[in-house]
Amino acid sequence: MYFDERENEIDYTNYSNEVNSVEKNYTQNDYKKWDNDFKVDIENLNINNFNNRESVNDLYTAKEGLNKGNMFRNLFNPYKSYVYKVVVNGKKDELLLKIQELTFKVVDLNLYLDINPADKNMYNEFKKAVEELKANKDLYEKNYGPLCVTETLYYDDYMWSKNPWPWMSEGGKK
Amino acid sequence: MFKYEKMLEYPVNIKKKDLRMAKLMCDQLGGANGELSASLRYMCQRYTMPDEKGSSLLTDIANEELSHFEMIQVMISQLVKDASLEEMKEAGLDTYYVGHKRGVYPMNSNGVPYTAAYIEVSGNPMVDLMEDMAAEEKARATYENLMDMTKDQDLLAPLSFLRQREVVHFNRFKELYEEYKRKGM
Ligand SMILES: [Fe+2]
Repeated sequence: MYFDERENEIDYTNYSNEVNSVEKNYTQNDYKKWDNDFKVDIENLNINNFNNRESVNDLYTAKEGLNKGNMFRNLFNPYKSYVYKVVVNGKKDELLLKIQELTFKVVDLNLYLDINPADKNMYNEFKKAVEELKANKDLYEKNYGPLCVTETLYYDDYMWSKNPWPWMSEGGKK
Repeated sequence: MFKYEKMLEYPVNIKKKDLRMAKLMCDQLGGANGELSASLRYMCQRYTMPDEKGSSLLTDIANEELSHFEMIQVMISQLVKDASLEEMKEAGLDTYYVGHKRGVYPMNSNGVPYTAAYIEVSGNPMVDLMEDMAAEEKARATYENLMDMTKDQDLLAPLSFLRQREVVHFNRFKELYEEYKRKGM
């Protein structure tokens, strides 16, 4: 598994619109004008400034969402335009990544629905993700062991405690 | 009750050891603005939220923060995994080694153990939500500072993910705060 910005398939064409930075609004001269007895490093100051061009319902795909850490276009706020793409090798890890992507979508929509429970469109989107997640988890657990201790009915032996645990990655061998 | 899922919220696989980064990352493990603080804060504040929106949002974010605590643990553990005694000494981690060897102990980057003094539970939902927004912003800024300190993409990718989650959490708390304010709380 590795991460590489250069291999990112994400479309960067709209990118400059998505980056909210102080640099855009203030020039270095303005900065000098206010410069009293302390200095603020304007170049590296990142402000949590959301732009609401897009509607709340404008979602990234689960894959893009996990790469960005955000399902909601209108909330996305990158640091120094860094976006990474998760790449894994092998069937097992690819399926696990798919589960992680769908889990992420469920988690992020979950938080939105907590405070917007009446949004029917989002609830349907949430249900679709849960359904897809369940199917993929089932496939994984049938083939590679349980992700949850109760998913044990496919096995004659006790599989839960078997390696690997999430912190035991292969150190780049895979 | 809580159930464990045998996976991380976002994949972590760090191949290059970096003791300096391991030490710095402790701020997000057991520091004032770290993930343990975050999880514990929301978990403890949820009992005095005024409605189901508050109860569910604080429970669910507390839960996600615990998964972030796990990710930070995994990152630190992988960063120090292959370090020799000599390398730990050089990195100033000999003081860490005598107490914890290569274990993952919740402390900040200066070795101060985690303390509940970092969080507040005021019993007042507006006061608590205001603290939560500030906490998310502090954690976001800390992630940016950590991202300035490394060029390792295996490390930058999960840091960037975790930073973005603070952005989302901040905004959700803000939405809830503003709704309560409109209702005159
Ligand atoms: Fe957070």
